[in-house]
Amino acid sequence: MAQLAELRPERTTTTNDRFSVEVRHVAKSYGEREVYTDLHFQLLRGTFVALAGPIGSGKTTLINMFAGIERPTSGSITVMGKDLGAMDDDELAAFRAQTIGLVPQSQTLIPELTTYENVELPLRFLKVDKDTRRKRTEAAMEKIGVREDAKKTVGTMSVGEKQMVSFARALVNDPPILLLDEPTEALDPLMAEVVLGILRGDNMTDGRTMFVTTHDKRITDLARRTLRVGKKIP
Amino acid sequence: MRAGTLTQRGGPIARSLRITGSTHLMVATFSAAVALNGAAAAQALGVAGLVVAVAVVFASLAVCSAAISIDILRRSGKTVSDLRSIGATSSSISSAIFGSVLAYGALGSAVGAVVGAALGSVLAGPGLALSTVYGVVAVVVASSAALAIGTYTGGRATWRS
Repeated sequence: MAQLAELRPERTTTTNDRFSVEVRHVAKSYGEREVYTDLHFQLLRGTFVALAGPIGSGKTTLINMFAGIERPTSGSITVMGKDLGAMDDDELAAFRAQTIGLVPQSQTLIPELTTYENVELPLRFLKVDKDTRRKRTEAAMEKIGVREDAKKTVGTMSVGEKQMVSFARALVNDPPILLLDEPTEALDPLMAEVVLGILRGDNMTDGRTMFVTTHDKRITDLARRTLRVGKKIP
Repeated sequence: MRAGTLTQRGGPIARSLRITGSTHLMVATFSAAVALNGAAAAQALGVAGLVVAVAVVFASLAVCSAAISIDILRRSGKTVSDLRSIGATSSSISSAIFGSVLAYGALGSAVGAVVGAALGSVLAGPGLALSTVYGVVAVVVASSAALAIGTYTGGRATWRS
């Protein structure tokens, strides 16, 4: 069973504007396999927190619960003042489109589509008009440095290139929360430097909350706080 | 639907779900075949024939479009999860399927109904022909309604499961 070594003690039981994420007594298990038993902490708005720990210790599970992709077995998670447990799957999807930029560890890009189309997709779900979609998509691709690949089909790209496209897609809706699952793992040193520069600059200038699972010491050095997951789940 | 070939590419969400030009062609040709038979039978058999033909057209296309809707969602399970992880609701995904099936199915049934009515008139002779316009309209309306209901029902059943 994994436990976070460093947890912020609960200060309040009501929604607080200071926090972007509030985790209250969350337990998560898959059948008999317990991942978390009583997870309890809060993330301040605009903070940059890294989560470190061995593979298989539940880091991705936590990211997925923050994004509302997985639900806790018990307890509650509040993101930007909204209780995720009170929402159905469609409400969660719409909430993600507005609030969360997600860079998952596994590739979730659509291989048949081009870079531009993949980056643009979240804006389509938000029903953003065509001109605004184009401007924001181009800006996100420019920021990450994938604009030259706009017409390239994602299925033909390397794992590292896909990761960069995924990053651009996560930023295109300008979300207040960015969740990144091992964002530099598949990147070559040059690409990793680009991502680190963006993480540094984005958090400082945009006041975005960032929660990053990582093994990369450069990211934990950048983060304001680093939480550690104890051990691999048996 | 833009003017052009039946095999043209759809929008990004439809293509994500692997709804291709072949899917459009399949929906259109099946709808055309069913509507052609229905309209021809209606012309040849009068009012009673029209009622039976419309019922058969409706049932066939409703079942067909429900099956297509279910198939698209089930074989694209990972894609659907991926799309939902970036904010796609069930209605935004279903709309892409609905749009493709309804647009190309209605086009196919309209062509099939016109050809079927003409064929029925030739076979039955002008004296026995029911109003061609009414026959074609009835078949096209029944086809479109069946495609819409079938697609919606198939999608809803899949989301629930």
